[in-house]
Amino acid sequence: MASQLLQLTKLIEKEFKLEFRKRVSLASVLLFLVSASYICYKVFININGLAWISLFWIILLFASINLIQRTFNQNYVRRKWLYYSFYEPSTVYLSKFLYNLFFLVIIAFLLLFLMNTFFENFIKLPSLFVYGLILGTIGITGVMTFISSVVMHAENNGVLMSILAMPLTLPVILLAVKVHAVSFGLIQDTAVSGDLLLLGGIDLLIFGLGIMLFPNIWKA
Amino acid sequence: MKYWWWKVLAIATFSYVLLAGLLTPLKSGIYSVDKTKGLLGSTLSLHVETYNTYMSSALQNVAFLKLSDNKVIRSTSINEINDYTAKINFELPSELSTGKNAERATLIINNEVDGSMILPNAILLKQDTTLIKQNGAKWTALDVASLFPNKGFRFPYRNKLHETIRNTFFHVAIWFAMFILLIIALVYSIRYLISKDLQFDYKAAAFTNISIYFGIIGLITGAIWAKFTWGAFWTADVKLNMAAISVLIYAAYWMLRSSIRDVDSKARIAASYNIFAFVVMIPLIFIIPRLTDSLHPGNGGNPALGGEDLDNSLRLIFYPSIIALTLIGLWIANLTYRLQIIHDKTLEE
Amino acid sequence: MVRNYLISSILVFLPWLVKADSLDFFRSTGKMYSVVAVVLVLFIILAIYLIKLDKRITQVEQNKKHES
Repeated sequence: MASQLLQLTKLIEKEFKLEFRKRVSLASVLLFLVSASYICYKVFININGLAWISLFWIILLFASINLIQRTFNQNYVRRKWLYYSFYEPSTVYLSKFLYNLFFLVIIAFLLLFLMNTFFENFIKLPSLFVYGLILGTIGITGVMTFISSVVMHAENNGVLMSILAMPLTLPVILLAVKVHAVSFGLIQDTAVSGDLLLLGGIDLLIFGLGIMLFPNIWKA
Repeated sequence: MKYWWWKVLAIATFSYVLLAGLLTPLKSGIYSVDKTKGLLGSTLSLHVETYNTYMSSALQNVAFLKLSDNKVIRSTSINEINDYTAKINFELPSELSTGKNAERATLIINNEVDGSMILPNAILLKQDTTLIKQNGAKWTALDVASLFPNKGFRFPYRNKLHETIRNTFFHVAIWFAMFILLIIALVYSIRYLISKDLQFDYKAAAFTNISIYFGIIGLITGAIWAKFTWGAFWTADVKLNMAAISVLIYAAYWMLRSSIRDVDSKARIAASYNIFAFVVMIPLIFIIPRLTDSLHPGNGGNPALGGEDLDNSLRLIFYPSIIALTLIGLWIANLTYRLQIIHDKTLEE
Repeated sequence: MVRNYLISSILVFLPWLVKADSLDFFRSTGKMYSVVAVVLVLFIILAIYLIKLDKRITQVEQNKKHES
């Protein structure tokens, strides 16, 4: 257990080193965020709460595709095959998941900041909003990380990634949107803690399935 | 062709479903009433249209307005214009005597040929506070034994659904069959991952393939039904959209299979994706629709078909229909699988 | 060829066949057409599947012929 934790930290450290050596990809995601929210601002100018939430999740979804798509980039994986073969598949998956989650949470809060500067701030229950945001990001990261490993061996995997991943993120996004609508005061719902629990359950399911099925894909 | 009996069973069951499902008549019912309100203490005359009735040949037509079992008004006269239109007159009592100002009454028509027809909450009975007439009409208790029972094997009559209630046997049954086939595909995917035997992968692929077709049938038939009942081919209804999404997920499975060349890694990845997609699809179909309201029949927090929409006469045909469609799906998947095996063999040679 | 002719002739004559039997008001308000359409869609899509299967079998047969 302790050695696995050590391996995990090593792998994540390696990921970060690589990321900051080649900053272009992260910068492109950030640029995407700014330009997408700015375009939305120029197009809509004034929006209501529901449109705010939908825009937020749509932009976040596309940003997460951009970010996570290259998790199992084939060229990179092939080059470093020997390096990865020292580690358990589940450790590799966990490291990729945590690394993606870290960046996606940062991106989500950055997007929140951008949306609040461009549009007005609708949030009435900040803590509920943050819970929904974190649980939603965990779910999206889980689906995207697994699907990016699925398309690793496929041709034209850029397109395939979005058609495979988008319908699967839907349950997470629908629930997260509902939680956010409650936090905006758009819906009166006393059973919102049940929704949060359900969202957490789906996240756990997605994560567990991913870590269980990943070894089968990794071997290929 | 050793085990051919289930194919015969499939054909026989589906023939039974077609015959019984299309030929059994509906119960008679009340199609429309020209008034929705009645003033207490006055005479109420209604022009009623009914469905599947023989009112002019029936001799003992009688109508009731019912608030509860103990509070019923019997009609004073019924003029049958033809088999399916009638004029009914009621002498309304001057008071509701329930403490309320207005209450909705259920309209019941009964005769010896058609049995009982019921239209719930048909007439709003209102108290007129300015003038209270005394006309001698009184509330009486409903004598259930004096009503004529419904005769023969018939499907229930529901307002708005009418004859489309028969779509239960085709539209709803095909979703159930699709789900059963997807479960079979899931089992084969799991067996492939355990045994790494390619035949299980072929079977999983064949079953997924036919379930996509079943899903498309379910979507199109649902759209037709919606056009006839709601007036639009597609609505923002949760159940419809969740169903469409689940078909999309499996269409994506097919795209994934066709974009991987190597047979073994294709099988392994497709099986993994199939398991993942199936499990993620479950909240989509069973949990999310429960959280939001839906127009779809069998709803109100309950996405499965049940309660009033599915009574015993429908069950007698609905369950065989699920079995028949599942067997047909099995049969087609079996053909696809055998063809795939032959295809592989010719390539090997 | 024969198959296409058969399908199109059924599609052309179907409204007439249905109408001849039940032109009255109650069939149309009872929405019996929707049930007929639903059964038809079910059958047509299964038929499309069979046609595709037919094509694949022909392909395999021709593969075999080339080899022998």
